[in-house]
Amino acid sequence: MKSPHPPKLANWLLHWFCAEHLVEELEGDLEELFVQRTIKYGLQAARRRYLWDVLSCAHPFALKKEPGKYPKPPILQPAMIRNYFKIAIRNMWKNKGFTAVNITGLVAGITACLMILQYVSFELSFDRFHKDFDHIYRVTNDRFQQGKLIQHGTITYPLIGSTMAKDFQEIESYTTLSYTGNFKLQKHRKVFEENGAFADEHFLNFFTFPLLAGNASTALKAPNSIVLSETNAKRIFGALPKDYSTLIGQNILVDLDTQPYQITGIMKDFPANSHLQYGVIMSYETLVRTWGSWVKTSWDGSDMWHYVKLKAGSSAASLQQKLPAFSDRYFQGDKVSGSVEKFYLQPLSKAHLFSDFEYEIGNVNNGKAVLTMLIIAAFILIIAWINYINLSTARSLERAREVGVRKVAGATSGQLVWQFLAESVFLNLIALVLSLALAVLLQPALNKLVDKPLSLSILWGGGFGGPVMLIALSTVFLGGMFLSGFYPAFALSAFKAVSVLKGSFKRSTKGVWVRQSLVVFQYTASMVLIVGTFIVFRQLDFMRKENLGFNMDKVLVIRGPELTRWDSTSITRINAFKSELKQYPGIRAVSASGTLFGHRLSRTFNVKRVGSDQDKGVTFSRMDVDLDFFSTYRIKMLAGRDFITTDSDPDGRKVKNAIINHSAAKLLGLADVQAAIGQKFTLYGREWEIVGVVSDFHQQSLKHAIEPIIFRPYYYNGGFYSFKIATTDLEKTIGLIRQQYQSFFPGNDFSYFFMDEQFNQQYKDDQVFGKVISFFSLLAVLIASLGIFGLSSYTIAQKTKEIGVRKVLGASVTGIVTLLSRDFMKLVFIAIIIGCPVAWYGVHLWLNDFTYRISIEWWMFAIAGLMAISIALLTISSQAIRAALVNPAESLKGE
Amino acid sequence: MKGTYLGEFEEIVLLAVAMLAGDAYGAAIVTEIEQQMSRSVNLGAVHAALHRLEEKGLLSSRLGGATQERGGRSKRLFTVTMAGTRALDNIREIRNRMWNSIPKLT
Repeated sequence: MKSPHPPKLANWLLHWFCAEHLVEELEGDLEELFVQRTIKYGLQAARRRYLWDVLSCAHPFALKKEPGKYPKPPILQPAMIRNYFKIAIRNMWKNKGFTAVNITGLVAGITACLMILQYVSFELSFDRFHKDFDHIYRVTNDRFQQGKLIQHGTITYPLIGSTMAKDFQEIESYTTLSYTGNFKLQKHRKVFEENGAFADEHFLNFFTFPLLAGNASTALKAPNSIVLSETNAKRIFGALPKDYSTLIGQNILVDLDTQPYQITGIMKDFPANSHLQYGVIMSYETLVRTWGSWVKTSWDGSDMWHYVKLKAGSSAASLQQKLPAFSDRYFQGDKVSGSVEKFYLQPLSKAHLFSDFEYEIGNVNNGKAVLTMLIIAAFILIIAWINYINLSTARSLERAREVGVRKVAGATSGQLVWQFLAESVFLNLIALVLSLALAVLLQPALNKLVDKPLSLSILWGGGFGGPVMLIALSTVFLGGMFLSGFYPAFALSAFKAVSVLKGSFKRSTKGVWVRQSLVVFQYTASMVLIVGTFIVFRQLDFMRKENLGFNMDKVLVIRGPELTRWDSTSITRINAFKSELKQYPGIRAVSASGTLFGHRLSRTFNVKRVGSDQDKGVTFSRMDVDLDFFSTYRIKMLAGRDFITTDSDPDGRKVKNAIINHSAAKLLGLADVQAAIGQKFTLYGREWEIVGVVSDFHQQSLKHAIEPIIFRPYYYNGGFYSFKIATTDLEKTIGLIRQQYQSFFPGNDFSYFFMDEQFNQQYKDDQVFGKVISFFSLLAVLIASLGIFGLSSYTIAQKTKEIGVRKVLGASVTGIVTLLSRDFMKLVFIAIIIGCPVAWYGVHLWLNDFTYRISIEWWMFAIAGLMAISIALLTISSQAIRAALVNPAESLKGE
Repeated sequence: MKGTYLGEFEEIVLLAVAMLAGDAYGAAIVTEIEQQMSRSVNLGAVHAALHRLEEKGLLSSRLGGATQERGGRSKRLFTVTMAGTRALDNIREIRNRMWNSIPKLT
């Protein structure tokens, strides 16, 4: 039988805390007592007593070090620290290339990380400035017809907010907004455009948008009240902060409203990280006059956004459970509004980043993309540190002699660890300072790229998390700095002085797997980023080239004359304006329309085909267009005819001919487009006749499905004029259009854009994402290559003699290069194998956002893999070839 | 008389060292005290006391022979110094004097 042994843990503990010179006698005593007690009390008790005794030895006497024979200076002496830095600087200077590579990697990594973090922090900080931020929810509304989701929106009916507040005692307060958009403010015959909204009297107190002048509780109570932002007060009135209160009570005109609006407050500009972005707020009561009393009574007309604030301690989940009953109570299935209504509470924290609703009120970004960037930032930083580790260890051979001599002169391992740690901290600090400088330098470019007011101050406590973020960040940076310094420091200080100085120095293979797995990690990350870039760009390209179903090449668009009043002559004037411009040879076609491509269209519910057995209506989106619209945008007529002059009438109620698209025909149960012509449907309580069917087109970006659309021959003074341009002399053409516009519609501002540019604006976020990911994958690949460069030079340096011997024995250069590259290529292959599924999953998630998307194919991974392999091969072979070409006489003479 | 004051446990340890005469080391002292007083004693406490006594100059120590039962590890052997003997005598004298001063109660 094995003799009983004392608990290992206790022994380890003793060795850990006990002074070295006391361990032996204490352990002896302990073991002797253990043997005696085992006999006397049994093994269990003896073991217990053993542990107890060990613990009792944790006493000052046992911790005290034996006074050494020689005086021992403290590890961190100013003189030594100075020496460490001197050596560090000399070393860096001596290996300029290596240092440059090392610092470049770190600077690139840290700078990239800092910049991405700014962006992410800014995005995550949205709306957090509101008091009671976590109690605020937005009411969202899904509508179902025949079990099918037909609208997934943030807009809903006028009375939802107030009724919920009345019915549920969990709700502390609510606010309602409506009619958001661009308004034309007029003062002293000047027009100022600004985004604005109509909001109820609770708005200013509900959200944290403080007033600089005026009373927040009453400012939005009376009809025709308006609250201006500080910027507008300056812009429109040239007011100084002290004059704000004098603006209260002044009048201003808005759009075509003949009644002036009275200024009741000046508010601070909304912070950039607010999902609501308005420069003017007008009172909701005004809408009762301009839109009609339905805005305060209707249960089937909808254009309102509602926010509710829950009382502290109330749970949104339990309130959510009461909402189906609420819907039944007021909407009785689909009896009231024609759809089954479902209501949800969306936390304010999701309104900016994680909101996939239609008819969004504000500033929405893709949360997934933002989080992806955060992951990329982490990747880059880790890759940079890994690189640092690999390069520093690679250099360790050169410093082995130094370590040997230092050890002979009496340095302990501990001191050497400190020395190398200090070196790495020094290098890291240089990198950090350079990164900060670079980040400041690149700031304007970044801000332009992402179109956000970013700055380092966001990380210093202005963004997400406040000052906590700064502490967290510093911890991460310092932690990473030390961690990346530790491995090389320990590897270096562990050299045995005797073997190093004897010259028979050989590196152990210990720790090789650490470096190898680091390389695998780097290449996996690079692989994922390469695939990601590839797919993002292909998708963007696909979207640009995809046939949208309409042609928007060379289409110049101007805004309609919104400030011109509608009257019985309006259509005549619009037609005169069009035909005047059509005479110019540079203009091929002109069309007026109420809406254009790229925007969520308004919907019309409850459309029924006359004579069908469908008792429930269907839902169409609608576009109001003139008779030249389809020809201007080259949208194909599938059946019937285009609009003609007699289809339109200044009195909208007399209009009764419509065109629908193919999807709409199918939805009405008219699969045969020819059969659709002449069919009638009811809308707004009267019958409409289908005179034509056009082919489907992508009315919005490819993220959205094609919708059933009804086209009505309505004219507006607002809306848009599209000009198909046939000339290269844009300047002149625009000048002509402007001239005619101003003579036909005096008093309106002239502004234009190009349809394709405007349409592609929908992909702006994706393009930014594409640019960012491509830049960072390039960076990641670059840094990873630096890493493998360092590691291969290290390995090759170790194998100098081996290469020499092989050459003497007749090995060819190719043979040696293959030999040297093989190990690394293995790592790259492993990285590709790990990277592929990860990358597949990532791009799959991203592509899911697009209704129309490219498919993920195997060859995309193959190309990315090939790229990774060839980059690695290039890096390694450059060094391998050099090593293989060395004359063996050179490499072997040292022995 | 700072430095020569002895705590109760120190006194017991000092006595045990004197009893074991030349063969006093940690484990032996622990066993001896446990036997004499039938109470369990922590090795750490004994070593701490030995350490203090040595600092006060009442004990001296040297590293001594190793035995099989302690895994071949050497032991630290303690002997009572002249000062230590004097301290013990002193305590005993004081105690005796006090005992003697107790009035006989018949």
